[in-house]
Amino acid sequence: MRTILVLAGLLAAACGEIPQDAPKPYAGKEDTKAYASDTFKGDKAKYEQTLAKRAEYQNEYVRTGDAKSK
Amino acid sequence: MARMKFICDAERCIECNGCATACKQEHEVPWGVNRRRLVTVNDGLPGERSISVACMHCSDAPCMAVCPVDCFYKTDDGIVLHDKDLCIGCGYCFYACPFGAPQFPQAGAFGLRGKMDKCTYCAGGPEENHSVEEFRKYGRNRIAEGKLPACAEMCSTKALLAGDAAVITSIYKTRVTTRGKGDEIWGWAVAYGGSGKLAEQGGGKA
Amino acid sequence: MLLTRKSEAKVQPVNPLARAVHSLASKTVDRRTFLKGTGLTAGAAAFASQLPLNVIGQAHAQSAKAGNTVVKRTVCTHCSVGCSIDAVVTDGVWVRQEPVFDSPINLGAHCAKGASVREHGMTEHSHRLKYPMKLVDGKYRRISWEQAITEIGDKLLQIRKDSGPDAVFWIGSSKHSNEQAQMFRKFVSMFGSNNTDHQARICHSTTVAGVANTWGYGAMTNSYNDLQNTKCMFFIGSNAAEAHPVSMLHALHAKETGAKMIVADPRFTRTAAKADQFLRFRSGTDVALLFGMLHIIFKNGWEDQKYINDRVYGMDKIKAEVMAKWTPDKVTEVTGVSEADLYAATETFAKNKPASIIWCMGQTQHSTGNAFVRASCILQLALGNIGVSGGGANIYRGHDNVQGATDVGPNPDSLPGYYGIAEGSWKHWCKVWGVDYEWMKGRFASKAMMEKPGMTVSRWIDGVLEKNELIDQDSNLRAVVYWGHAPNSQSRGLEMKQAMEKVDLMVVIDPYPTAAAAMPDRKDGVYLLPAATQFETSGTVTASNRSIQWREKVIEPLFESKPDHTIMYAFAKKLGFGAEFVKNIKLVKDKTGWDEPLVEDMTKEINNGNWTIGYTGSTPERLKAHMRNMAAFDPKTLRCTTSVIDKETGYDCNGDYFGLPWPCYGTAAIKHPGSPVLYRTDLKMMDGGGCFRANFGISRDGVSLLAEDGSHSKDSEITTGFPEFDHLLMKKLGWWAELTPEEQVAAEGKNWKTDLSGGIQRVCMVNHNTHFWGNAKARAVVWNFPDGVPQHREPLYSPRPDMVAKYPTHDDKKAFWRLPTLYKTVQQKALADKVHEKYPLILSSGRLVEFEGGGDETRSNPWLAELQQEAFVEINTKDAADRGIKYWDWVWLKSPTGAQIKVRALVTERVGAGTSWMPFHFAGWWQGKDLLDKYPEGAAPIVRGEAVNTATTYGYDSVTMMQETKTTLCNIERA
Repeated sequence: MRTILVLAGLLAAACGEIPQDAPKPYAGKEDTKAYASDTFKGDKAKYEQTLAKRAEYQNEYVRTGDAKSK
Repeated sequence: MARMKFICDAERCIECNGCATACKQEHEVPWGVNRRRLVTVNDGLPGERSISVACMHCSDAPCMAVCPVDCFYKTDDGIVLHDKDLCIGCGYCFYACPFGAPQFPQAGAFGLRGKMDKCTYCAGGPEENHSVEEFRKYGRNRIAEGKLPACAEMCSTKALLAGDAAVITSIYKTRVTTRGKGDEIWGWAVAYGGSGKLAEQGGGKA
Repeated sequence: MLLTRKSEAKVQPVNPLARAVHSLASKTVDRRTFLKGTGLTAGAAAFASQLPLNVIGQAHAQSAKAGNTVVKRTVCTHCSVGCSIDAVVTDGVWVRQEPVFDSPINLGAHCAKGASVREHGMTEHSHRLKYPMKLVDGKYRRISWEQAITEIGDKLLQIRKDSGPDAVFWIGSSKHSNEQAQMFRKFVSMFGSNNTDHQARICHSTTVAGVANTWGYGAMTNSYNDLQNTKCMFFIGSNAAEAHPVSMLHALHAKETGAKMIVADPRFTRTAAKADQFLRFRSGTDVALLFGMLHIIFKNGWEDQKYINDRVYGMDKIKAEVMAKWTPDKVTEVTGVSEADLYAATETFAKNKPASIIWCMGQTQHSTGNAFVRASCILQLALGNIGVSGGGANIYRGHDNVQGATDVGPNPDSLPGYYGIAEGSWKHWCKVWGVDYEWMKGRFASKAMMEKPGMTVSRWIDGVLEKNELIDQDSNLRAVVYWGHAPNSQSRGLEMKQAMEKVDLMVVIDPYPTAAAAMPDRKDGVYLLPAATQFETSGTVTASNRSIQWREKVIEPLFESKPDHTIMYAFAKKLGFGAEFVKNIKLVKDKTGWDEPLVEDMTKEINNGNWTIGYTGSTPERLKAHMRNMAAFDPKTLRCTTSVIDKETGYDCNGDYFGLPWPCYGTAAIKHPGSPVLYRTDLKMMDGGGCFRANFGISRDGVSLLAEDGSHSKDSEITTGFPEFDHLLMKKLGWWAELTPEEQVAAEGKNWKTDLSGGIQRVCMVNHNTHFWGNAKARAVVWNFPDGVPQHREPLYSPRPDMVAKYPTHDDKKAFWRLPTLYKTVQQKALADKVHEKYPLILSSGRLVEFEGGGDETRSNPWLAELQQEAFVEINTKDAADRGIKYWDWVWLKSPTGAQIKVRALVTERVGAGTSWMPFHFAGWWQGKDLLDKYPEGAAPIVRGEAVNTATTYGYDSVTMMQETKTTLCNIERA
C-alpha cells in the first residue's frame, strides 16, 4: 500500500500536481503544541490517550451495554 | 498519530442547536459570527434530516491552499488553524470552503470584513496555550486540557462526534451495526447517484 | 438552515459578502437564516461596543492559575429533563460550564438552552432586571428594596383590609426550587388565601387530574431513561425533539436497538421526522383517535385480558362505547386519519410490547384535555402497559421544576403533597409548619373560603374583569403578583392587558421584567423586583421522571437580585406573619446582610410533611450524595447496584435509584430506594414496586374496586385487594404492636398520610411488603368528572360545524374555580357568527427548542436569541398560495376576538392544509408595535415579537380550567 502511495506521489509530481500530503507554507506565528502546557507537560502519548478515552463519553453504549454486532 | 475529525450522525441529529450555542458559549463568539450551524434538508417533510456543520478540518484544506498570505497551518493532529494577525480578510478562504466555515465579523465599506474567524476544534490558535490573548482572538483551548470540542461533548443526542478519526468512526460503526442501517447516507452511492436506498429509509407517511 | 430546491425569494441581504453567500445557496427556505443581514443589525444593539477587527470577544481572565477556582454542580433550569452542569467559578465569577458525563439522566448532553446557561452569570450586556423598579408616570424608575417592600406591603395590607385577602392573586412559579415552592404555598396560606397558582395549570393540570383519578398519582409513570427499555414509543401531542431534546437521546437509542416509533400530531414535527409511522390528525380530536385505536385492539383481541381482569375497573363500559361509537369511518370523519394508517399504527403499538405512550401539551391544552389524557391511560391499561419497565404513561412536563411545584407548591385546590384543602389537610400542614390551626383559620376571610379552591392563573383576568355578583368570592381581584411566571403564555391577551390596567397593583418578581412590564398602558401601580435565578441559590428540583436533584449555589446573586425565599421572608415580615413563616426554619445572614431562610431546613420541612407522595425519604444528605456519585447509577435502570460509598459522608448509594424518584416512602432511616417505574407489581415495595391506589372507595354499584386476588406488589403479605391503611386497620391486623412507642403516639387516630412518624409506612412496607395506600383497580370509568367515559367534544372554536352538531361541548358552568365558565354559549355563538368561515384556519401553538416558556429569559440570551430572531406563523403551502403569501412575508394573523398580530409567514408543508401554528415564546410587540420603550432601560429582551396569545380565545378544560390553546381559529393575510 505504501509503495503505491509513494509511486502515486512521484507520478503526480511528474505531472506537475502537488501531492496532498505535502507541507503547506505558513507565514504566521508559531503555535505551542497542544500537549506542551501544564496538563501534559510534553507527553504526547498521554495526551493522545486522554483524548481517545474522553471520546468514549460520546458513546452511551459504553454505559447501556446493548450494542449489537452484525 | 491522531487525526481529529467530526462526524455528524444524521439519524440522531434533531436540529436542537446545542452544538451551535455550546460553541458560542465556550468561545463567546459574537453575534453574526456562526462557527457552527445546523443545515436541514427537506424541512417539514418526510425525509427531513439535519446535520451540524462547521470547519471540517480537511486533510487537504482548500482554505489553506488559496490563502494569499499563508495564514493557515495544521497541527500534528490535523486541526486546521490560522493566524488572525496575518489575516487580511480577503475572503478567498470563504469562497474556497465547501462548508462555509470561514466567518467574518464585519460588513463594512469597500468589502471590509474583519479578521476571518472559524471553528478551531477548540484548539485555540498561534498564541500561548490558555493565555488571555488566545482566548480573545480564538476562544478556548480545550484540546490542550485533554478535552474535546464543546459542541460534540454537549450534543443532545450524541449525534455530533469529535475526536480521533479511528475512535469516532468506531463509535459511529457501533450505531450503524446496531441500527442495521445508516451507512448509506454517506458514501459513493449518495454522492454519485444511488440505488434508491435513500428513498427507502426513515421518514413517515404524511 | 435549509437548503432545498424550492425557489422562494429571500430577504435581500445588506452586504456584498452575504450576497455572495446568498448566491451560493440561493434557493434556501427555512425558519433560520444564515448570515442574516437584518440579524447583524439587530445584534449590534446587543453589544454596545464596536468590535475591534482582530478579536472575537471581550477580554477575560481565563487562566485557571489566577485566583480561586471551584466547580459547582447544578442542573439546567429550562426543562424537566434535568441535565446536570458543572459550573466552573473563579473568584466568584462563573467563567465556564462543563458537561457532566457521569449523569445517568443526560450523560453530558445538552440542547441549545442547556449549553448556554452560563450567560445567566454574565454581568456585561445583561438584560436582567437588576434592581427594584417602580412605574412612575409611565416610566420605570429605580428604587431601593426597602422602599419597594414598604410600599408594596402597605398597599397589599390596605387591599387586604378593605377587600379581604382573596382580593390578591399570587401567581407562583414552576421555576422555583421545591423549597421555594412549598414556602410560597405557605406564604399565600398565611396571607389568608387560596388564590394562588403556577404554570402547571396551563401545562399538565389536565394530566394530573386525569391520571391521578385513573390510578393514583398524576405523574409520569416511568422515566425518560426507561424509554431505552421500550419496544414501541407512541408520541401523541409531544414534540420531544424540540421540547425535551435530551430525552431523544434515550428515545433514539431505543430506536437504534430496535424500538418502533409512532408520532401522531397535526404537524409533521421534528419528532415526527424520526418516526417510523406518522399520523397527521386534526387538532383536538385525540379521543376519537385513541378510541379508534382501542376499537381496533378490541376487535382483534389484542388486549391483555388478564391484566384488565386483575387491575382495571370499568373496561367493559369503555369497550361497549368504543365498539359502538368509534368505528373506523367515524374516526376518519372526525380526525382525518385513514383507516389503513390507523390500523398500521395500532398493530405496531399493540404487538410491540412493552409499549410506551408519551404526551405533552398537544393532549393537555384543550377544553376536554382531562378526557384526552384518560383515553391515553385507558389505551395503556387495555394493553397492560402500566407498571411495566419500557411501558408507561410518560408525561413530559415542561419547566424545570413544574413537577416539584405541582407536588409541593402553590396550587389553588391543595396544600403541598396533594392533601387538598379540607380541614384535616389544614390541620396536618399546620402541625408540620408549627403553627396553630385556629390562627391559620383566622387569617382567612372565613372557614368556607379556607376550604374553597381558589381561582386559576388561566382565569385571574376574569377575577378582575368579571361582574362582581357572578364571582364566587366577595371582592374582585384588585392586585396581581407575578412571581416567576410570564403572562404571554396564557390565552386571551387582549383581556389580559385590560385586567393589568384595571388592577390597583401589579408586582412582578422575576430575574427578568417579563412581558408584564411592557404590556399594560399604565402610568403607575407596577413594581418590578429582581429575583435571583436558581444558579444563585441552592435547593432541589424534581425532574419529570420524579427524580430529585440538588443544585449547588454557583454564584452570589447578581446585581441587586435576591433569592425568592429571601424575598418571601421579607414580605412575610412586612405583612405580619414573619415569625410563623419560618417557625421551623433557621435564618442565616446573606452577603447583603439580609435574613435568608436556610435551604436545608426548608427541604427538611418538605421531608416532614409530604407523606402522600413520598418526599419523606429524599433528604438533603441522600440527594447530595447522589449528585456527587452520579457515575454509580445505571442509565437504563437508574439504579446503583453495588456498594458506592460517598467520600464526603460515608453514605452508601447501593440499592438507590438516582434522585430517589418519588415516592421515596418513609423516613430516610429505612432507606427506601425511590420508585422509577410506578405501579410495578413484579417488584417488592422496598425495591420500588407498588400497585394501583385505593383512593375511590371499595366498590361502586356493587362492583369491587379492589384488585383481584393474586394481583399485588411482590411478596405482599396481603395477597388480595385491600383498602388504604389507617391506625384502625393496623390494629385490626395486629400490626400496631410493631410500631415503636413514639410511632404509636404519632400514629394514633391517623392514617398513612397523616402519621408524622412514618411508622405506619415503615411497618407495612418493611415488615410486610404491603402497600399502605391500598391495592385497587385502576378506573377506566370515573364518576367525579363531567364525562365518566371520555367523550370527543369539539373545541369551542371549531372549523367544523357539522362536527359541532354531532359532538358538542359541555354546558356552561356557573361557579367553577370561583368563576362562571362558558362552553356551549361560546361554541354556539361562534357558529352563529360564522367564525369558521371568516377565520377558517386552525391556530395552534407550541415550542421551539431555542426558547422556553414566555421567552423573555431565553430571548435575552444572545446566543439563543440569534437563532430565532422574528416571530412567525407556520402556514401551509396551499393556504399561503390561496392568500398570495410568499415565504417570510409580513402577515397579519387575525383572531375572532378582533386582535391582530403582525408576524412573518413561514410557508411550509410542516402544517397540513387548514392548520397554522405559532411558537408561543415571543412577546414584546403588541399588534404590530414594538414595545421596546415600555421595558425598563437595559432590560428588554434582545429579540421581541408578537405573542400568539394576544390572538387566542376563550376556552377552558372542564375539570382543571386548562386553557384551550392548542386549537382555536384565525385567518392570515398579507400585511
